[in-house]
Amino acid sequence: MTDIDFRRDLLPLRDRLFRLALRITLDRMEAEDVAEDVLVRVWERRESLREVESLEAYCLTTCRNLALDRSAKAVAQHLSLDDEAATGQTTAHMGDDAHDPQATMEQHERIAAVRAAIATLPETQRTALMLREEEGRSGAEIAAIMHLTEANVKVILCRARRALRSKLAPHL
Amino acid sequence: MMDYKYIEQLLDRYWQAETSPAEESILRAFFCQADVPAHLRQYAPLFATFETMQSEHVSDDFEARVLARIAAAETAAPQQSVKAVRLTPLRKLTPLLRAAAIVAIVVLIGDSARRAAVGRANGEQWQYNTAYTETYSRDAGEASEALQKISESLPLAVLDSVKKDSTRQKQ
Repeated sequence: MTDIDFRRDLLPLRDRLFRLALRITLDRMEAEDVAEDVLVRVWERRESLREVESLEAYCLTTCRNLALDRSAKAVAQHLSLDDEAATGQTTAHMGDDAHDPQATMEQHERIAAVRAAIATLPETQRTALMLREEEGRSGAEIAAIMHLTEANVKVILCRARRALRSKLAPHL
Repeated sequence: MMDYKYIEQLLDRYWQAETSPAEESILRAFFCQADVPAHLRQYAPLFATFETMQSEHVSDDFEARVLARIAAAETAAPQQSVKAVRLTPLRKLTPLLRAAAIVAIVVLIGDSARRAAVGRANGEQWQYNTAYTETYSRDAGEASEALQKISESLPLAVLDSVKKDSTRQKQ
């Protein structure tokens, strides 16, 4: 790999890192701090990272570790209200093309319910879901980022999806 | 009415985590369209949620903040490569000493190999033995010469002293 350029190689990862950190910490402020720390840290270590196969995967692993450190400190507020607040904010643009206000409201409520259900899942399931559903990562990539086997990842994803299906059945 | 068998099959495999990312994007596209059939509609919010989560992003001042931190880190440690290396005088010479040691080893091995080769070519087995005998015989010759001189002069000396004794007794 050639020299790492901050603007070209690291800065574009910011939203991805932020979202991964957000799924783990469930707090927007914390997640932004984590994403920031990851970028600065990786930049400072860039000399030793030229041989890294995938800089992005390395950043995601670092991000998860930092986020886990932080959320271990704030473990008491595991299911935080901040996430609920974030839900309202980020789902605002959904259903922009649905002109029926009633339908839009229902859609928001359903999405908020799914997000609340995701927030109650164990961290490994939330992280695996994020990497798969949001990032479209393969099982092998997720396994590498989370330091698990592919078989483990499959089991985790399977449990997460089934948990969501069963938890949400009454709301849907 | 369309046939949704394919989607249903994909969905079954989706719950078992046996779908590929490509197949899951087909599911996503299907459930995010406007007219999902009634019997599948219950799953639509799940995929819609992932869609909204995917578009979340950092706040607008994030970039400025992180760039400021990078700039601050740069001025604090302007030359990354310099900080780790500090050479003592001996360490500076280490490569030279290493090279000298290698040369010495090569020369020693080469020399002993040359000697062995020359020895074999001359048909000599152990020069050590001949050298030893030579030295021995030469030394022995000198020694016997010396002994001979002593043995020659000793009887005369003895005779001398006997004569002196006898003359003293006569006096």
